[in-house]
Amino acid sequence: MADFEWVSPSAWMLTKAFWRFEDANALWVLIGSVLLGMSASVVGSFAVLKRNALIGDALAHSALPGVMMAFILFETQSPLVVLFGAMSSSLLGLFLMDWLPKNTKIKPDAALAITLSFFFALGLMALSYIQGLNVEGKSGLDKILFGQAAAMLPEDLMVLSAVAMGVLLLITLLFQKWRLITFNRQYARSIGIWVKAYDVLLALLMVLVVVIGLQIVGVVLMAAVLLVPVSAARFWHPQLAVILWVAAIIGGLSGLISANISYIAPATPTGPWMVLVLAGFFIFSFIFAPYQGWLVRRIRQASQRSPLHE
Amino acid sequence: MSVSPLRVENLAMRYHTQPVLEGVSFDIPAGSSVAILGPNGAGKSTLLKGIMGLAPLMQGKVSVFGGALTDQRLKVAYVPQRDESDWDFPIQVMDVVLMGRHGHLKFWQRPSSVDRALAKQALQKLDMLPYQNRQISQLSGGQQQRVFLARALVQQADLYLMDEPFAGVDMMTEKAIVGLFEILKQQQKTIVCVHHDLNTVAEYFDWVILINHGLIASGPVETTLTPEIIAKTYGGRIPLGLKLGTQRKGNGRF
Repeated sequence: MADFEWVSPSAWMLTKAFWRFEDANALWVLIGSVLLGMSASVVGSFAVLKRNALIGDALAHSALPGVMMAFILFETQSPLVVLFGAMSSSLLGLFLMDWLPKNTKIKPDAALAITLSFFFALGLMALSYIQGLNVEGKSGLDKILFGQAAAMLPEDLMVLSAVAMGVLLLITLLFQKWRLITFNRQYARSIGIWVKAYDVLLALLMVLVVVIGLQIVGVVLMAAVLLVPVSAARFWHPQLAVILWVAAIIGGLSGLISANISYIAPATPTGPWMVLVLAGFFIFSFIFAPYQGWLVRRIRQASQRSPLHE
Repeated sequence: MSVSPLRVENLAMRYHTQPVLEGVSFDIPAGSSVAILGPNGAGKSTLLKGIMGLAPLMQGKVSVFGGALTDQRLKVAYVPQRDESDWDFPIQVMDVVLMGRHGHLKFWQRPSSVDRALAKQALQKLDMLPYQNRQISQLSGGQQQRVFLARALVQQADLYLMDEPFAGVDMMTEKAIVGLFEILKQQQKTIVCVHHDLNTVAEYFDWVILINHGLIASGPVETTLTPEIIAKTYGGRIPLGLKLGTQRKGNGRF
């Protein structure tokens, strides 16, 4: 205990309670957060490599009005209703981002920004409308903006975990296809790979991951969980398979730490904590990672230079 | 008589609304090495993409070995232009070459040791074996091109379509590509290349297809690559860098 005097006693007690899983929910929150972190990092990696990094941000913001509409229609926050609402409006956003550049002079980046802000504004309007309503079960809806892991219920987390595991499994199975397509699209088509189908499938996985992540990370900061792990992982290793593993570990550990923090400090939202933890991993990787970290590059430069001075 | 490895009939293509190719028809003999020539923007790469089904045809028909490409994709290997790929992608040379085996694998299969052995052989033929574990981002332009050719080689196709394989490569690579052509010709394979250097045509190829939005000529190098047809293809302007009569290392055929 003496070693931990810098943590307030109550925080330490709560952490101990969390790790003993005295609260049955805690185990579920932990599993859910880790699986979400892992699946989001892996799906996000492909988006980053396709130079389509911000699509997750737009999809997350697009989910908001769907969640609110679903609540207005069904007056419940049961996980499948939330999932359904979020998915339908996220998919609508995805469609809009694809349709606009193809049928108008609007460029893809502008289409993304337009979709993101329209849907988010609509969602916020619906949220304030719901808060003015006199219905039961509306408390906690606003948590979806910045996430609140500890407030999630086991049934939410079971759905989340199942989806996350499905996503991880599919990526593992189809890794070679997506690697080929992402590296060399025309070649993939030339050998008869149905590139369009894999594009759509990856976009759907992205929607799923974003949607299940809403209650843990929140709409506003969801993109960071998709993008930061792979960006940090590229400092560690040159090969995609290893990069995906490192990204998954970073994402999973961030989920784990954030779930813990969410228990210690239930008043603060989880999303910002998660991003701060990810930022820590990123800075650590940037400096100390063995492949392209700052330290290693400095050492390499120095050792290359030295023979000239001899 | 053997079936033509590639026959194009009355092909027309557009880029957005702009017509790029119109009324292109030709037929090439089996086992030949063919250069597609023409000025910039004449539709050379577009033609190759149309043949491979990578860009839509407005009109016309393409047959490979007497049938549709979609029924025999493995028989045709495509080498895309080098700058259409992401060379910062985190992948090693070996893994890129193994992509060429993809079509031979079942949906759930991963490359086997046999596939790896084939990939090594292909890299050997292009003098790239020492680079098998390199990151592609560390390669020079010529080395990148040789990796792409090795990938096409392990596909074990009968027809090879290459988009500007000689563009911007070093002498080493140029030699390696020519060596590869010889190996492929010995095996009776057919090569079709988009090419830009008129000085080397007669040396590397035995058949030429000249296009400028439409077909100008198609035939054996000796009879087809005449000053008149070159002038007609390039609109009367002699293309930059062509030194008539003072070929770099040609055999002075034109």
